[in-house]
Amino acid sequence: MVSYEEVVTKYPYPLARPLWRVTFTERSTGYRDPSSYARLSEAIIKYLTALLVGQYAAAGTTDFALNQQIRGLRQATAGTWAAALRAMFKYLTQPGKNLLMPEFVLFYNKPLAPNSAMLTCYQTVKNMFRLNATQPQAVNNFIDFMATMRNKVMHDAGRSDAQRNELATVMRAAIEELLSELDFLLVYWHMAITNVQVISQQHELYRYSVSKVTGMEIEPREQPNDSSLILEPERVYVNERHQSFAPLFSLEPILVYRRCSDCNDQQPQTFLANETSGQGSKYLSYQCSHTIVLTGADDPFNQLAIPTTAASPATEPVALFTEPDLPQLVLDFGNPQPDGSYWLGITSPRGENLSGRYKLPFEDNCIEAVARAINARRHADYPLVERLVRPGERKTVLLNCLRTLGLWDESHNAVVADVEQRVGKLLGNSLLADTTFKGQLSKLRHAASLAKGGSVVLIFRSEAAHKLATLPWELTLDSRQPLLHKGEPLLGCTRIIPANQPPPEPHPVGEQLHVLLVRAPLNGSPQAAAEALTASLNSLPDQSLAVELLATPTLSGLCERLLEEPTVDVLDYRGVVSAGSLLLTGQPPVSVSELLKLGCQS
Amino acid sequence: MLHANEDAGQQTDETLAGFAVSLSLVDVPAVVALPSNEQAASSFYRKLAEGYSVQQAVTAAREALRTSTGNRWQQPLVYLRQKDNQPYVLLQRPAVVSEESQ
Repeated sequence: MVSYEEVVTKYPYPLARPLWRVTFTERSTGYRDPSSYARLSEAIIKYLTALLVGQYAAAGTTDFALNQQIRGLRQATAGTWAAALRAMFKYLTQPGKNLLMPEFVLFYNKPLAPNSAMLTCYQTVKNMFRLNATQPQAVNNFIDFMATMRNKVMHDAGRSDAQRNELATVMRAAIEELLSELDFLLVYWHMAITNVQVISQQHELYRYSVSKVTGMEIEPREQPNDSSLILEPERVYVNERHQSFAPLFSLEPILVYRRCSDCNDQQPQTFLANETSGQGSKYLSYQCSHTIVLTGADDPFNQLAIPTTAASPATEPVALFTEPDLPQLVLDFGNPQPDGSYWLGITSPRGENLSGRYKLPFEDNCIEAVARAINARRHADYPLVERLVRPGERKTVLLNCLRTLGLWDESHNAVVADVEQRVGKLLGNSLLADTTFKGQLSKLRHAASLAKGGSVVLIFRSEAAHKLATLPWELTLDSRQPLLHKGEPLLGCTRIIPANQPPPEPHPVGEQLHVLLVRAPLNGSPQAAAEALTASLNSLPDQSLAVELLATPTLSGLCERLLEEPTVDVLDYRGVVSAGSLLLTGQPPVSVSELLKLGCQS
Repeated sequence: MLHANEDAGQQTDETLAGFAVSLSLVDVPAVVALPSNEQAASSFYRKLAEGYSVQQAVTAAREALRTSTGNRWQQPLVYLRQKDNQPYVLLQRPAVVSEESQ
């Protein structure tokens, strides 16, 4: 077991100094603050990532996805850092790759003992925050858990002093245990290059002044070192084990060595990547809590994977996947005209801008009735169970619409059984009445058969046209066949309600897409199907999807998860939609505005 | 993005289309309604993971429904809230990976 004194005197400065700082503050104030340990957890995850990124960079940065993942660390969450650490480890431990610090494998994969302080910490944090987190089996699992723990603790409020003290105590014990497992760092001393002199250009010999980046204080080493190696000033290097001067790799771009402009101290210190700023990359000191911003050529991220030779694989621009450009027929619904028809902008599959008219085959006030009739008929128990009329609702208008349109079966006092076909016919007749559209539709089918795909895009541009967006356009019939499926291939159909903004930026290569499944069963349990889907998608070879099932499908459970990291990209809800709200288990309905509020807060 | 799975077997008194439009109008970038079908959901997510757009992923789900159920292919709906008709991609992929996985 490595003692606290050994860590703060012999471990690398980026670990030793933050631990010392937390301890010093605690002793000064007499108060244990879990937030300090949350920050320390973050510093440890980042430092470990710096170690592996440094080894990866020394090997040539030839993996495009990993390079993107490293660049993504400039605006990463704690969970993203832990994921990057895992990805780096996986890459560097593949056959044929060279992990310069082989001891890292044993450390990272070391199983946790039953009496481990890390397990105690996990259990305490899990119980206190009611987390649905899997019990860590090895150090690497605990590092992942640290990211969650960091987020929980940093956003925590309203806990009693006793609970905070308990939290801080178990966190400290776990961190000390984790640091103890890093004892191999004792033989890899870290140094910063502070000055470079050329001794002999002919023999390519340089004289390096260095500072020892070990323990609580960074101190200059008295003796300079002569070497033919080309090392960069203002960088921290990890030295080969037990060697006096044999740099293995630098810790840039994750860790940089600079002077803090907010501190009076002239001595540079270490900073870890934190976030992007408007101009460049922002780095945070876990010693003084100040930040620096590095821009342009001084920004190490800009230099990552920049080619050193034309033949380097990293120099070759890697093309991003773009899906095939398939033919489309675009219908743009504009404002209603005096005769009640809508102006229709038509963009042909060849890109020509045309125009037409569209007249609804029923009154506007029947749109909802049509949609509800189709919806009712999709329930197997209708009409035995009333699905059309809401309790207490006057049904006169509803039924008048359905009767007028031939969608009401008087003999059974129910929506006609073939309502989808009848509505499809109504929509088809009205849409195909425009000859321009009809002509372009046949051109779309021809183009789609050649391109093996195509789609109809419906844009509801005017506010008045928004109500048309709820119509079941996919049911539209062309003669007796579905408009989207009259021959091969099956056409796609997309609805757009225009806004000023383009679609959000995609995640860069190497990042994961986070999907949260919310299953709120009223009858039976769809959990098994959700678990099967989760397992199947999480096992995709490149782990591009991270799918999780919300353990507690309640409003508070959903809210908690949305506030946590990693940020949810896709919320996949299965349950009941009623009166503009989602029904969650044992809760009042969650309205659209509440749902949006949750999303905004996250 | 909200991907609302319509479960036709449960009590639903409101059309998903109406709810989806409400979400779009409060600027949810994409709302997708899929019937409960594991193959359709799996096809949808796999396409997103391969770097395809939401639009193409929904078409893949539609195809999966046609294959597995025959008659529910009309039900997937996709609503996008964006400036124009460009593909809405959630995850970038390098060309070589995506092409291999096709």
